[in-house]
Amino acid sequence: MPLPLKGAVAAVGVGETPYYRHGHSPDPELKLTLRAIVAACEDAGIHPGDIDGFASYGNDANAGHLLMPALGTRELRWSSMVWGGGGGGSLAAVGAACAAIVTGQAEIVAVYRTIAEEASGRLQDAVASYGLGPHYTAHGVTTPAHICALRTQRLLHRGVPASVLEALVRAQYFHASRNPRAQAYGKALSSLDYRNARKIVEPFGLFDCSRENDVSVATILTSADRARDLRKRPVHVLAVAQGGLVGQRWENDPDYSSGGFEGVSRRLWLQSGLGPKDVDVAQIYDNFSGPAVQAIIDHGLCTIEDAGEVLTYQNLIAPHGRLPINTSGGLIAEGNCHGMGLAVEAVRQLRGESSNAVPGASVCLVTGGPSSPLVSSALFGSDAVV
Amino acid sequence: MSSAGPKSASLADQIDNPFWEGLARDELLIQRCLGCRTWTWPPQWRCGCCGSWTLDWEPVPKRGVVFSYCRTRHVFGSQMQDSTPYTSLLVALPEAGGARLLGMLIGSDQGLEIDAPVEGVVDSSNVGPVLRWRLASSDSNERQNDAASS
Repeated sequence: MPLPLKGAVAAVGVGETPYYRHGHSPDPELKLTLRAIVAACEDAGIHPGDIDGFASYGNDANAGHLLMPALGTRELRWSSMVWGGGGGGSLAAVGAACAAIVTGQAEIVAVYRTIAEEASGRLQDAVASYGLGPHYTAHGVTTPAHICALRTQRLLHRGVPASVLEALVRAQYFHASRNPRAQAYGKALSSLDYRNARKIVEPFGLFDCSRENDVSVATILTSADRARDLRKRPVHVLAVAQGGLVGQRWENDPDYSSGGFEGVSRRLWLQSGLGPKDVDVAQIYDNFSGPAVQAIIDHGLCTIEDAGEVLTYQNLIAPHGRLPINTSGGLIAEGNCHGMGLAVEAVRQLRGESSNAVPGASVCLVTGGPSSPLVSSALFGSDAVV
Repeated sequence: MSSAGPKSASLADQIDNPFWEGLARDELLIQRCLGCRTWTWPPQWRCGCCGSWTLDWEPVPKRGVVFSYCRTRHVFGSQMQDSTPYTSLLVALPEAGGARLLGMLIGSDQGLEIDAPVEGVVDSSNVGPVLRWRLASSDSNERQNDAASS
């Protein structure tokens, strides 16, 4: 079977603003977005005016045509927004950029997400507004935390031990403690502190929940041909897939303990010719600890049955764990840009630039948005695998 | 949050209208396809299974089982200040093809677990009628507790 995407598109630049505490951005969203995109261009060695495409998700308000005058964009050739709510669209936006580049509709596409509370309100409310009508809110199910808690309860009922939630969260704090960009820089999390944390929505305690930040994060993609002449070693898109099997069902998904990645992960392996065993390191969307574990299982990195054995703290930490996960600290401990930070960490990891570099890592899985009607995932790889 | 209560006037033409109207009459109605008899929940304009456009609302006993649950301890927004902590449920209706409704637990939570049977009660004390759930065993639990303490 031909693999038309594998190696055709590369991520060549990444950039972000600091992860400000929510409500504390010094700049409005549009300026944050410009700062992140220009930083990503500097990283790539690309003139910002050369960007001819823009792709985002999660109802991001900072459309390409609004950015053009300040970027010096010569011609807008691609502009796309992913439907489907929340971080589920994060890698789908990467997929849209790939589609534009592979089909010659655009040459250099910025994929980005910007959140500032002043403009967009609290992230938890913005995400809730996508799908939580009166059948939810009448019962106090008012935020993603509630829905993810219901789903996680079911996952635990299926036999996944609660110890894996703690292991994942503590591994992420370990990574963040060594990442100067992270909100939790210098702050590892003890088992005792994790267990004693106040409860938010049980089964989640405080540390099972991601942060909310004011931030913009951008990744620049272009063709593999063009990528060769740029500043940094290109990181290739090996596969990208979006969608779901269920759609909007008001919590009536047949497999409620799943993160909803069944079709997406199958297509990821088909497109890339790779499998779960080829993944060296993974950046797993962690709005909450439980959904991240669901996504790990959905992608075949472990099963419900062996999750307790595989997902241990020692296995999950870089550099020498069997499967290091969320090596920047993720949404829980680095900061939350609705998942775009995970794609950036994948690029840094495969360049050897991560604060928690995994030696010899050549394949990195990135996932977006478990438990939403549309989810997406991508596989990134170094030169060694294309 | 886009909607203030269980049923706002601006949503009066929505597809789920019969559900709320049913609750106002103390009836639980779930949509069902007249073509293939599939329970279509959440309600749809067209049956995705058989393609029929003819769907109806059938009364269903207010009996279910706990499919999942979560306990909210953190106060999310001032309107929940007085009611937190509370327990939300996802209730499966065996008599409606396993269709699941979100709900809130009232009464004792003793014996709350996945698969525990629950009974629905329409609560009309709010903006509009909502279906609350009580553990089917909680009455007998409370009686046992009374007996134990007396």
